Amino acid sequence: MTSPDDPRDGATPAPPAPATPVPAPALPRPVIARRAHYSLWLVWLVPLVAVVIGVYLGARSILNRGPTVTIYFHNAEGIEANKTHIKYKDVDVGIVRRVTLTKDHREVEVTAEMRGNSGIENLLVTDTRFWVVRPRVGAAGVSGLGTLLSGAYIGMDAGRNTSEKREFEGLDVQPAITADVPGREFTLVADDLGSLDIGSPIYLRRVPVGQVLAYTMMPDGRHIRFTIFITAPYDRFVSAHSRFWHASGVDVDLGAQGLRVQTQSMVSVLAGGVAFQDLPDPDNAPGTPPEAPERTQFTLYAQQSDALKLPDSQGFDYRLLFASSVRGLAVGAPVEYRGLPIGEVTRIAVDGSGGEANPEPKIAVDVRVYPRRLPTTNKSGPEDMTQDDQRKRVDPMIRRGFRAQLKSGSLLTGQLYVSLDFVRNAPAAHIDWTATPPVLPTAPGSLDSLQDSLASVAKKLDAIPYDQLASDLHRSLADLDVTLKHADDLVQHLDTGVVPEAKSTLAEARKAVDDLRKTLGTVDQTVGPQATSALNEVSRAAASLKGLADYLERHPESLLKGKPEDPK
Amino acid sequence: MARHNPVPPTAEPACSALAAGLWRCQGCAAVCVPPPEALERQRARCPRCDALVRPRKPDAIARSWAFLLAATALYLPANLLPVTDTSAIGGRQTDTIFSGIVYFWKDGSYGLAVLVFVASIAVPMAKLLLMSLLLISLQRHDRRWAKRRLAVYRALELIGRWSMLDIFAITMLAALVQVESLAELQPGPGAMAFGAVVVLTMLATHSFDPRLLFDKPEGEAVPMPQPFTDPAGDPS
Repeated sequence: MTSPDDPRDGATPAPPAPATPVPAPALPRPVIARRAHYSLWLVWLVPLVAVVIGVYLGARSILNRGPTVTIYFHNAEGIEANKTHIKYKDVDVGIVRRVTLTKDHREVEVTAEMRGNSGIENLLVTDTRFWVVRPRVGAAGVSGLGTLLSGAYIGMDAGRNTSEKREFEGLDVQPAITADVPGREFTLVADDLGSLDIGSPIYLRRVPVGQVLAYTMMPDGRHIRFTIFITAPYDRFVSAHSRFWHASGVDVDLGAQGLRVQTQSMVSVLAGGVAFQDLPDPDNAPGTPPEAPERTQFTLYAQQSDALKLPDSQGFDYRLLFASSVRGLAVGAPVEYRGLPIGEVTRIAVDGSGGEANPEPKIAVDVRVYPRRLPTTNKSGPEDMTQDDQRKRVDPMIRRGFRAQLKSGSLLTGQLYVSLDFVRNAPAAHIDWTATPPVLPTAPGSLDSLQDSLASVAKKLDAIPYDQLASDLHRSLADLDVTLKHADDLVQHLDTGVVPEAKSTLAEARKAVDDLRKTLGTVDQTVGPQATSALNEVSRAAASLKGLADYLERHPESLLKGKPEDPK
Repeated sequence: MARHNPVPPTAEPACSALAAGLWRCQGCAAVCVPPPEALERQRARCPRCDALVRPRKPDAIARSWAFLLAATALYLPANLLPVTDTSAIGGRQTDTIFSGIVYFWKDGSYGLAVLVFVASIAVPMAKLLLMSLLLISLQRHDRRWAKRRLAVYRALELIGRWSMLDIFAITMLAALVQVESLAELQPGPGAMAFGAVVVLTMLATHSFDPRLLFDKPEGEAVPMPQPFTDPAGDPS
């Protein structure tokens, strides 16, 4: 019980004057405690801190709220308000707050609240895409299995544009390539879709290097424009010399070159695909060709052989006029010089419009020949040349009988190709170089002449009435059969019945003649005139006999049956 | 308490030990006579239990106000921000206290919903309101409220012990629901705020000195000491 002295003891007026009435010794005196060192204002720090914390928490939740986006989907399968999250790279960046129908009831309007502190605003740009992740089983594999348990979520792929956007059209299917995959997009233009689809693989030497992102019909309605994506590092192999072709399914090509079957991998057989490759450089230039810039447009060829034709840098157009049928010749059919492909048919049309000046229009086949396509023994090949160079080269050849002919590439299919070759004994011709395109003289092809003669023979053969001939022949044969039988009978009759009687008749006749000669001998001088008449009678009798004999010969049965009623 | 003071029931109630020049230890209820230096410092140590003895808690009303305001400031985020962050196979979900109540209610667990509502929303709210009421009326020295103040204070004491229920439930759940990769429950920012509210309201009631409820306003000259000395001195 220490009692430290207080200097201000007396100075302090104890307010309620405690001393007098209280019985001091009865109650203990407390121990003097140390002076309290606190200030009241420190207490006020507590609400201050609390307010700061409260404001911080509130501000954080408000800031976390982030921007609100509206996404329109065709249906809201699996989307629930306050349950479905929006994920970007599988990171939760937002949550769906409201799912309603649009005013026209055609689409579902999904209002989602993005997280604020993630800088997500910069990702909500015009080419940002949203889609609903659901379990998917496709040719390319199975995805989204996790959503079987967790429920669907909305996937997001940030775009690269800079202009921000808050309303989006949701995709029906997950995009094959998200924007963060390194690589580049290119454009392909094809005549038809083939068996391609979104997500169809793209192969470079059968290595899958990309995918088809989208395809649209071009405004002219005749071409399809594909957007494809080649992932890095393969995108640098796309150069200006690259050629793309359908590697879809099984390509069976029955052309002038015969039957060709082309396949890529099994996946592409099933799901379709695109393959590409650089053209072999005709000049064997060292080094790789320069990379093509992004979104370069390429032609998507129908097949590899089309795509890998050498570059058509130096082409010369010629017109061939054929008087024969070009059935079996197609645009794109090869033009060959002694079997080496040198060009192709570009157009088939009727030359002129007929009329008096041109009563029998020929078929004009426009071809384009690429002299550089001809492999030559001197390595560099023919240099690029002008029309004059070409003229200097071709004119002497024409004089030697260089002609274009239509030949059959395949007797089986009747496909034709244009053959350039020297024709012996060809009538002299020349090229009119002033015409565009110059008209290259033609010769009837071996097939033409063969076909002509065959046609005429066939025509004659066609003219024969085989049916009638056959029936006539049949009838004649039957008649002949009957006649022969009758002749046989006749001979028999003659042998057995007619001949003996005729013999006796003849004997009697001879006797009569003898008698007659005797009589004549006697009567000759005496009965002159009568004798003459008698001789006439006898002569007539002989004629009758001859007639009889003739008759009998024809109708031997009359000896037995008598003369039939003469219809006359 | 060796001696029993038969206080006449008719006596004016506003008679306090302080007015009688006595200090009472809050720890062991020993009554002592403060020496002058203790009076000057307004604090001393209890001769029996060595606890700090003060005539009144210093600045009780101001401190109570401070804690009360702090609690009020955190009451809003506690109720608006999510208190639980559940990630399960079904996805991630954050719940505020109120959304949990709504969930229980929709689920048909009306009793549980009411319980949580009372413990988590109504009780803290009531504490804040009652405490403010108490402090305001004290500061205004409203005489008519003297008895109601006491009732308010008792109610405050009664409900105060329930206020930790919710934080307790969250802590339990967070500890229990930790199935790796299947389900996880984590307290959200609201839980922290809520806990702070609870603690601050407790501090506010603790800072409050209920003896102030019986003190006469300072301005009134109290006639108490005179009649009160008699019973104190009588038996001795």
